[in-house]
Amino acid sequence: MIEALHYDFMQNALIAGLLISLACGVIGSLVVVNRMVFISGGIAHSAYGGIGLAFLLGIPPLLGAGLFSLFIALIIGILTITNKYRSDSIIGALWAAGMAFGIICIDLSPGYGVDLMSYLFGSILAVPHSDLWFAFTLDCVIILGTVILYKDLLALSYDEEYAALRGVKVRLLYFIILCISAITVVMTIRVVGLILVIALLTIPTYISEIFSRSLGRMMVYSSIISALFTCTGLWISYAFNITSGASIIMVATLAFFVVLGLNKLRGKRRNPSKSVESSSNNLNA
Amino acid sequence: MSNTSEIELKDVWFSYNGETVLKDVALSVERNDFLAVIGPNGGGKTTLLKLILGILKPNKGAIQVFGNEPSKSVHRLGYVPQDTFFNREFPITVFDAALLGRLGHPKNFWRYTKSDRETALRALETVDMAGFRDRRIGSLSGGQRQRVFIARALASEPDILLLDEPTASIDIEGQHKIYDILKILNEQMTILVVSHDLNILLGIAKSVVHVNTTVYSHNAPIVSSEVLGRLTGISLGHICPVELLGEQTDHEHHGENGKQFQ
Repeated sequence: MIEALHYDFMQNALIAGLLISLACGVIGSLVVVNRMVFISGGIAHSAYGGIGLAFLLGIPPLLGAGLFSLFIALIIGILTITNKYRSDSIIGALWAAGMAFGIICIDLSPGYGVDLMSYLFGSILAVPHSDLWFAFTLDCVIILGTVILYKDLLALSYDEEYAALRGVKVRLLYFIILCISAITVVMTIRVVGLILVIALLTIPTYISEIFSRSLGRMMVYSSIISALFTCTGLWISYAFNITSGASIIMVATLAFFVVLGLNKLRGKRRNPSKSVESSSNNLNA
Repeated sequence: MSNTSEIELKDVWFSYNGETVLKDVALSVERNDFLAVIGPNGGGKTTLLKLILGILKPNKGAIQVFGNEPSKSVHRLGYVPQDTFFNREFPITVFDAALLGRLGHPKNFWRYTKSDRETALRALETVDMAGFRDRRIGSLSGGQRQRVFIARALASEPDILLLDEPTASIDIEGQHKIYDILKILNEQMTILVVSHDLNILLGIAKSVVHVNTTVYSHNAPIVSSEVLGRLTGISLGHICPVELLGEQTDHEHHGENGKQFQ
């Protein structure tokens, strides 16, 4: 691994991975506790429409994807704000429409040989300097915003109705989360590709949720876990010459199932009657 | 409007999806009252609470809380919602949950202040949950969790406490703890509680209103058998309600208050 770091592209890849892990850890935590995983999936996939449009118009693909996914995020926000938990069919439709739109745009684009694979599965080894600066700026915005808005974000995520009652601007905050997760998703497309974005947003978060006592810690732990996955995945990708996005996600999913299994075992050992108890609680409720 | 009346509803109508939930509701809650709101499921009890809190707006009529519209007085109300909680696994400690009651105070723009923390801790002490302050909320029993929600409401230092089914699906021991807490709190503040719990209705409440689209008021503990008859949707088990209430009802429900139900 050390000798690999002599290469510029490997250094860039590592820095990009770490920067994006931070964004993924913080935003992934918000997405998971707010039950917005499906929404972020919709944004990630419809971002493909933006990539296609960018090729058609001849602008940088990630700029196209960024603007387009912000647009989709706003539409999803408007459509879901009144009924957050029953909006999955709308999101499903936008999810597919965005991808179809992207493919049609690429069909209509002049020229040939657009490397779609790199957007589907990421191209962390080809990250240019400008993307590193963009990721760095995004991290700064996310950290600053989260610190300032932390107690409001916590209140919204835990109990929206109560937060609104205590004067938290829940709608504005919901839109802020949507937009910032749209931009994070587009950044993450760089690392693992749009198909695998959801895994990097949710797996570290799921693992850290088990042992986090607060949303803040969950964000920190998720970022660290995400960074570990990215570094390990990159190393495996380098050592065995396989696609980096896929190897990062394989590392994450393996860890996920190991943790899931360990947690089940631990739960059983600590409290063998727990499953019985919880099922009877459900009956009472 | 009398001077001691803290909540006043006049001619209030509310409908949801074209269906009238509350119609022509008049209600007045006096200072230091302990008002129990009873009625069948879907009869509009929670809606009534949310109208008072300003979460919902009436289609018609006037609601005044401390002489103002609800949204202007909401900071003086402490709300303990029904525990239909889907968010049990949420990573939050008991103390942080109680601190949420301090939201919306002008002095804590982006961080809770020291006095916010002290107030939240005092609120947890009041409900005897301070010892659990670092526990995750998901590890608590239903009764303990309910006490944390009461603490969260108390942390906002309210003048009126509104609770929605605070003893539903809690074991007997947990219920008694909550009765004791509510009794003590009622010495300092007005309490309005939606409940089917007979111990609250007969033992603690000072007055009772029955909500089933319309609202009937009368004073507790004169709970007539007619009123209990209206409690459709709750199970009294094998206990005969009349037997349970004993002589108290037999003697008193012929009085003035009983008549409005005939």
